[in-house]
Amino acid sequence: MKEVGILTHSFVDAYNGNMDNIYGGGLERYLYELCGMITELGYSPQVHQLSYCGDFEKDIGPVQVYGYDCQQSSPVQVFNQMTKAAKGPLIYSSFIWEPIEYKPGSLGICHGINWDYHASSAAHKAEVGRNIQHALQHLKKIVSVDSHFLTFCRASCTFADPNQVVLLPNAVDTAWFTPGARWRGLEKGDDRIRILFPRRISLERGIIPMMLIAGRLLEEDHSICIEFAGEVIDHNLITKVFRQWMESSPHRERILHRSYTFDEMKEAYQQADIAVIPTIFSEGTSYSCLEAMSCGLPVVAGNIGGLNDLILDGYNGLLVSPTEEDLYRAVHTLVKHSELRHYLGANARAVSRAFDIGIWREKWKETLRSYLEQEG
Amino acid sequence: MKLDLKRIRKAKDNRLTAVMQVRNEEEGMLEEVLEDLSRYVDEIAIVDDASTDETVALCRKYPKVKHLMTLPQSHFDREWLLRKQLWELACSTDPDWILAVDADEIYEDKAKAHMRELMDQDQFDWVGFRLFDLWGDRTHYREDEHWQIHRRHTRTLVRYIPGYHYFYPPMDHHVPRLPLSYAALPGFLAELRVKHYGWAVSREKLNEKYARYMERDPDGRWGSLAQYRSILDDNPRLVEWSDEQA
Amino acid sequence: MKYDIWGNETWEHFAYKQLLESFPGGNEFVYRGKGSPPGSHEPIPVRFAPAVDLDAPRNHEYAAIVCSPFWIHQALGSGYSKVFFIMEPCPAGVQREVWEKYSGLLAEAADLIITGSEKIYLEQCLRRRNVVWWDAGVVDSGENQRLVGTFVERVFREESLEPCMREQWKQRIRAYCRLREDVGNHETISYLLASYHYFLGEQQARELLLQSFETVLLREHNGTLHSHYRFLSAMEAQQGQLERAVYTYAITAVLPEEKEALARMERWAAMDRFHLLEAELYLANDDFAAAERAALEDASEEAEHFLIDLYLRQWMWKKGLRFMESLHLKEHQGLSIDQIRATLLWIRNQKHEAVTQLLRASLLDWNMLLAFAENDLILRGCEQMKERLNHEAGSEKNTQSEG
Repeated sequence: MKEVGILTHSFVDAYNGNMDNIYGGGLERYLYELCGMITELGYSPQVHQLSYCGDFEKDIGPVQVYGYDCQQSSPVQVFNQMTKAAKGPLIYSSFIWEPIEYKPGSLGICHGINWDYHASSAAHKAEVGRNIQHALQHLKKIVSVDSHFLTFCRASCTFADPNQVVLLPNAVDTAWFTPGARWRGLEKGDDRIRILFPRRISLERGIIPMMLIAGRLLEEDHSICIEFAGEVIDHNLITKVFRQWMESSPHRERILHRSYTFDEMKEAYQQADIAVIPTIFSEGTSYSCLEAMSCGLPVVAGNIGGLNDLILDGYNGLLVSPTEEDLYRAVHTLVKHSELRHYLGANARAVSRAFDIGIWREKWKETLRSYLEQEG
Repeated sequence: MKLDLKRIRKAKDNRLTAVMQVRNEEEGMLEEVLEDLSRYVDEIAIVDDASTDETVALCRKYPKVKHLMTLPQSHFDREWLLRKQLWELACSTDPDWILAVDADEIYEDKAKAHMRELMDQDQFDWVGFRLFDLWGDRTHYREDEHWQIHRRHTRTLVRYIPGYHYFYPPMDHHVPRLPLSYAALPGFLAELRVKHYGWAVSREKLNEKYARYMERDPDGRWGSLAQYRSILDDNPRLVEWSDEQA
Repeated sequence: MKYDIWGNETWEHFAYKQLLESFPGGNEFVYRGKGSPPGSHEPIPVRFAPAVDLDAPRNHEYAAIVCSPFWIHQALGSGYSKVFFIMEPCPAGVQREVWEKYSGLLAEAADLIITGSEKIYLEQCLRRRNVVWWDAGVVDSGENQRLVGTFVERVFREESLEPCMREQWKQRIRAYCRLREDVGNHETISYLLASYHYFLGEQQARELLLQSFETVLLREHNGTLHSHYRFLSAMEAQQGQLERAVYTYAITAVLPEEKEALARMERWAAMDRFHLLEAELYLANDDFAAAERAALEDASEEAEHFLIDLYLRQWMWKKGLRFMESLHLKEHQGLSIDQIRATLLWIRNQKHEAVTQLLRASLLDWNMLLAFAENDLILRGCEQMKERLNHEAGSEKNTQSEG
């Protein structure tokens, strides 16, 4: 069977030596789905990834995984190494912002812009721009998960084929992520308003403004409780910040923190009334946003990256600048106006259907077919 | 308030005053030393420890000997007091830098060439040189168990800082040439050499010196008896002296 | 008066039992932590309670005796009428910078600092006028014990402690003179005598310092320029001989930062700003209290900047904050006013307000978040202390580890 090589920085958990398991992040799930489609098309997917636990080889179902130790070299050097070693047509699934020596004519994927923090250096951004131009010169096509990157290429780079960058937004399984009984008004007797932060606890995902608005909301309205449904990394600075904030809050009893597995996550959305996604920078098409919308939740989101593709302010959510004040006002409005929550939530559910995973799979298969047959 | 701090550490135009104590040097190499010093120092100050020969007249022949103190009575058994007097004389001349020289020492050419550069800076306040004991003649120095002063540095060139606390404690042996307080100030250990000719004399003279030491200090209170005895060694370990380029 | 004692060992190993006897009579001591078995005889009226956070704040009937900066929240956030801080050197296994910082912050807020370490005592005398040295009951005369008692009484009466400090310095002088008679002239004894005479403003200090200087040189220990000679400049400043003091300092100004300090002194001298000149001289000699007094006399904006720098470096942040606010300064030497405010709130156990302040400030500068890492060290240190005191699980100091 013909091989197809996928180059990525992460697939199985080679951070913690857990190579029998696929790491639980969005990117890894995405690649797993992609491998599924490649198999369906009659090819053999081979994933080449960075490893922090030495070189390895593993089979995960139909996928062969090769790990390359990256502790002695830079990630770019390892990507170049993987390029030489991989067989068949290649798909570069990471590091599009780096100067990789691509195998010409390959396919690339950009999972979102991560260099859009307003205060970082112009020089760094310019260097990334040069690396994207380099990618455009060597890759046949780049799949972009949001319009953000597409616009970036059009505005900052030059390329001949207007279809070289293909918009293929992320998806959500609308049959799995469905509104719960609460949304349908079938739960009685619980007057609490539950606000959900459905992200990993990190700086770029806006945990700092979230804590600030949480403090204010909890203080002024005792019917509010706030759930943080994200992982923390022990000993990490942000984890210490979060824990100290939680422990010192005078409203500790109305702050929940829980880590959900992917399968359990639906529960978190179904129990909530509002989702807050206050990303500050680095956001492709957020799975959390899609999942929250699919479960009929009104979303308050920062106007960053791919979130702009998903939320129309005032229609299926509230889109604001991710500052404390703007986020606070938006959430406060939703708390006070239950009819607005229902209106936005219903539209959110409707909009999510446009991002259903079935559509995504079809678009990807078409892209893959066209790419692999040409290569063949 | 007007402060005059410049005089603490001058980085240029420093004057060099040599200071020396002498006693009955007529038959020694005092003339040679004064001749040599006159070529590179600005002034010479001398304390004569009650010489009974023509030492004082000899000193007076050199125009750079601007200060000459003659003691009516010898302090030979109180070395520290002699050094203290010499120091006080030196201070009274308002010097910039002081070079404490013995009447039988000559600095190598390289040292003389670098002397100004060592003084004209504001980073350190004293310089240590390596003293070599020439032995028996002028071509070799001695290096063995009791004769290795050249393995460490001896502080001989110092910046005079008016108002600094100088003290000369009464000590019987290992009397330093210069006040101990210099040890607290920053200094520089130079790889530059000084030739000491005190022992570069005939066998006969060495025996005489030995006799004098034993007479003065038979119990070895001020110096080491073993070292005194080693003066008489028949075959001391000698190393050839070689002049380096300046 | 009732005292809550927040120690650093279980009662069995508590090193300051005898010190408690110096506290004026009629007291009830509550030792937080594992106590002695029932039926044990104790020299003072003590009962025991777990070392845990208090359910409710204390009232004016309670004072705190605190033996570690890890108890800073308990000391400053529990409503005690007075706080007595027993200051110790940094234990092994604890990050020195964190220990020094929180000891400094606690010292600023405490009513009296007590220490058994003469080194710490001398350092603190150079910073404040509410310090007492406890002799650990070594000398039998009871003189020290009575003095400690007097300190404590005056703290409660809110009277100046300066007379007590002077009395202690005189006691130390007498003690060292007696020692010198026994062991002869030793450089450390001379140095200590010089220091105490200096504190008293007496001229004998100079001669004693020079004796120490000479003795050290005779022993061929160098490096005395900074440790000994420079101190003369503080003495000369104290005796009003400013010109001579600057000259003395200039002799010792060898390193680049010292030459910079000298340049500042020259500038103040040229402008006849004698108080600022004095302040710089004292600062160069680590006499922060005297530097502070001199700068306060000047009362200019330059003096305020000088004081802000001094206060912030010495962890006197409450004083520093006041001056920063009056000058409308947002930051000083990389330390932001938000961080200072947040720290002062946090150590007083107003954690929620402190956290909120820091979070808001961090939106403009993420480096502010590093404060949380430091907070974490203190919180963990405190938890480890509670664990040790309540359960006696390993009494070695190195269980009190840093992150």
